[in-house]
Amino acid sequence: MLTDLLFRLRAIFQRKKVEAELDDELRAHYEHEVAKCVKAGMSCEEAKRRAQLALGGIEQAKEACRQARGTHLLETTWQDLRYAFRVLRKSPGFTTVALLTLTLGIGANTAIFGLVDSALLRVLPFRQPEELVHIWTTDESGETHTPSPPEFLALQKNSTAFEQVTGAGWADFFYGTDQSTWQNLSGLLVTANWLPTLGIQPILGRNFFNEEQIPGHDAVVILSYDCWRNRFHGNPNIAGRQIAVNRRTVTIVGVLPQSLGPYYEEIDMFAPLVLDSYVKDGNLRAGIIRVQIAARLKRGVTLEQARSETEVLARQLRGPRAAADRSGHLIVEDFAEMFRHPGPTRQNAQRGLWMAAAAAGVVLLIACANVASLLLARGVKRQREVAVRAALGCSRGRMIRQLLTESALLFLCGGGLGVLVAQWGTDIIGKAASGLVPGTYLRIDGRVLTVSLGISLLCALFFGMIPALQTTRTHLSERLKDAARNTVGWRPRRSRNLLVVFQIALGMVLLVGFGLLLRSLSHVQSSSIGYDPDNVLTATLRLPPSGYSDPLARARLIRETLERTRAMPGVESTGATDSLPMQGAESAALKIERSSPSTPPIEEEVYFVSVSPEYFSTLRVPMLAGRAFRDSDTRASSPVAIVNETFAKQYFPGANPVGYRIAMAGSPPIWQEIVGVVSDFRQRNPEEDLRPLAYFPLAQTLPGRWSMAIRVRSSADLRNAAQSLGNWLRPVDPQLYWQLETMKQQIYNSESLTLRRPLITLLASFGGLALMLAVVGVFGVTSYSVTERTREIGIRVALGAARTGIARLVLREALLVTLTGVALGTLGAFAMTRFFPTQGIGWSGSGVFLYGVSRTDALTYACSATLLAVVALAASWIPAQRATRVDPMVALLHE
Amino acid sequence: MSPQRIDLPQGTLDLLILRTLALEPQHGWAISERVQQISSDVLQIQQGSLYPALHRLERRGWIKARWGASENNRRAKYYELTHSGRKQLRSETTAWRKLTAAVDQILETA
Repeated sequence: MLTDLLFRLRAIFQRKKVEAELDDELRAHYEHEVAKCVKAGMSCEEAKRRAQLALGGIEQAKEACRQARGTHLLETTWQDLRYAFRVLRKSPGFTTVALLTLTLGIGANTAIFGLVDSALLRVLPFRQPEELVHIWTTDESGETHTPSPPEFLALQKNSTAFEQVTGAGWADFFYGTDQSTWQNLSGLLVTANWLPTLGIQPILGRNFFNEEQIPGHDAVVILSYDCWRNRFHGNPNIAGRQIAVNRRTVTIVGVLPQSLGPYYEEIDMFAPLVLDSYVKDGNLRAGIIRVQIAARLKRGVTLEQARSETEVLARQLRGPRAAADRSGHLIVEDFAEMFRHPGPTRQNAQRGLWMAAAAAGVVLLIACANVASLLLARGVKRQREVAVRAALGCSRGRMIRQLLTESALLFLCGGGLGVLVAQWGTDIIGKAASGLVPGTYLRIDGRVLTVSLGISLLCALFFGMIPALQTTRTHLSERLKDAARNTVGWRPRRSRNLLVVFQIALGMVLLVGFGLLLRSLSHVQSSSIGYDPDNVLTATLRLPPSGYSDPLARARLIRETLERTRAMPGVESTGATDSLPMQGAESAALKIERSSPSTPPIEEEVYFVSVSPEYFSTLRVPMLAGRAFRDSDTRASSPVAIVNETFAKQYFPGANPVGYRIAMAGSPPIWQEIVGVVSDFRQRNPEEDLRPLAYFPLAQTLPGRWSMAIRVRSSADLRNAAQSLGNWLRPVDPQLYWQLETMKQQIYNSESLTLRRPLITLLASFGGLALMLAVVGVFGVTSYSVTERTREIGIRVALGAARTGIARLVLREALLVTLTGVALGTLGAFAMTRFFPTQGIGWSGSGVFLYGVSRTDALTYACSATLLAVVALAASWIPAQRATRVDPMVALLHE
Repeated sequence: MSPQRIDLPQGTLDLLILRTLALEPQHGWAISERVQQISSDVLQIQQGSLYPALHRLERRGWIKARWGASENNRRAKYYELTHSGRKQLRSETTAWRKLTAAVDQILETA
């Protein structure tokens, strides 16, 4: 084994010496042979001749010895590589075009794969995520919930199945350097072992210490990457700086790396979880204190073992209970479970991302086809070389290997450049894609590199094989003759035309996809949303964790804020809601009374929104029956509700719902009287189907987060209001932070449009790329065809063919190829668009790509086809012109 | 050339080389001469197969090479058997004997 290795290594690294030794050895043999013959009495000359004869072919013997060394493959590959390099350098035009094509194709795919990898394949960017588990508890009905502090403490103290048990809880943080710049941040309170258990290392500073979980020692925070970049300008010396958070002075001790995966992506700041303070300041809205538990299994402990141990602990905690009570069970679930059933937003985003990936794949195919057809065309030029090599005894396999080495070199260089481009284009593509999947970062790492290397090699093998086979297909004598005559059989030409057909067909698929999306977008943008968004400013407030726990205080805040805003110069009217249009709505099971008193109320899942009295009039949505809410509808008065038109039609067909009652299903239900019916308008996406919606008075629900819709008189007023609102509202409570947007921006940020835009951007760039490549393809194939047919054209001209006839001859071939491609592409697009999802996930409109156009929309197909045909004809125009200038004398003499 | 020459069966070349080298270290030409002499010119090794075979055996570690002066004072590459080469020779010889005995038996009795 060892001798073998040493022998081979010597053969590689001391190649020259080994070769010289072989020469010496063979010469010694020859001289011995000569000496023997001389001894036998021959003359010197005769002896040499006899020795030579006895020896046979020296070169063959040498080659056989080289093979016996076992390093032959490596050596010839190296030789091939150097040859390929020289050949590529000698034709810079071809090499540049091919490399450019591959760079774009592979670059696009590297970038998209980087995204798919971080968004879909590797959603848990933690150390050994398979060992991580979440632990949930159950309520009376067996539903899972976040566990309570006693359950957390018991697990942390008593369990043996876990290496670490960590706790975390969401919190709202209010950060400000002075009283006037309060901003709300989302925060996560975590135990000191939380980051190390997940395997997250701060990129700056340090993790929390254990003693920082003790009350009074917890005045420290760690920033998320985005928070650090956006709010602290990426200051590298941030660690140690003191800031005010929730009216306390705290020290920044660290900054976390960029991606924490989708689940923790929105968190701005981390602080130590102190169970005492958590009880005081914690979950304001629900009023229940909960701790999310994440734990890491000990090496070798299975999920099942952990489950049974945890269940024993849970039983001890529960104590004796009634059999029907299903509460207090601890459920151990592996970390990935949470991402196995992603929410609607994520699923919709994934659809978009897969679509982008498919489009990138198509671009790669087009690029490869382009390079393959370039290689084929070059193969024709190199036939003399191939024929000569074959005549000298080079086997076909050997030649194919050499040609494949050449294409592998080409594809690998293209791949390398592509990775660079992807790296460089990270910003552009990453921005487009982060609209698709929030929290996704394009990262070029080892995995991505390996994949693009694999893609390059695979494509090199497949798309390099076609020209390699074609070029080396030889009937030797014919080939030598052909090569001499410089004409070509139609076989390689047919292969090349097929490749261009393939390219144009794929380009057609991309263009149609892009066209359909673009037409959908314009339909979505012009769809009727049911309210008037012009000159409406929105201001969103998240209540600070302390100071507003009293409902009366909250009601007063809403009242005072609205009154003061209404009095602002330029403001026409102001309404408030917990969920603005395009922000969606919560849903819950609702009991609805029926029009006939004998039938029992039905119970159904219905979306609901809380609004203030002037909300509908501010949006200019008319009431169809009954009344709007009044200022007198408060907690003190009887509960009331308004329903939308679709609700009325669906649950009270043919009847007026005013006077009937609805209630949140619960025990006991609180019945709310329907006092009015409001006209329908879109709540999540501009193009959604209308659905039943119930509205409750904001003054009766008093949510912890609500927004104002402020209608102003003109667009100038809109700007003024946006500038002065913060100051104007300071007298109400100087510590409140208002997040301002316009209603137009709300529409722009609706889920449907947020998904559509990056997809359209990506498809537009891929479609453009496809067009460019099609131009190169058609131009290349037509130019070569003209070159090959120079003699034929010369004869035609000599026989009196008109110049226009010659041009038509060339253009006809290009047109034929283009039309075939377009026809195939049309079929392909018919097939591909079947994969466009037709059903939204969650709200309708979300994740549905087509709106207002059929997937066989004739206009889109016609435009795409025309565009391709025009571009292809334009690309073949120059070669056609060249053909008309062929001088018959020159063409014929040239032979 | 009066005696009828026979082509070497597959795999026997290695055995012949190893056997020749068992006596003393030899260079390539001497190996082919020795085989030709001992077999009374029946077996002849072409250099086109001899040298690749020598290199292969060297790679396997059964023989090793060193440069020395030949009988007529020329620089020549001498091959000698290694320890594992001797073992290989023994096992190959046994295998060859068994094979030829079996073939003989069939030829005589069948």
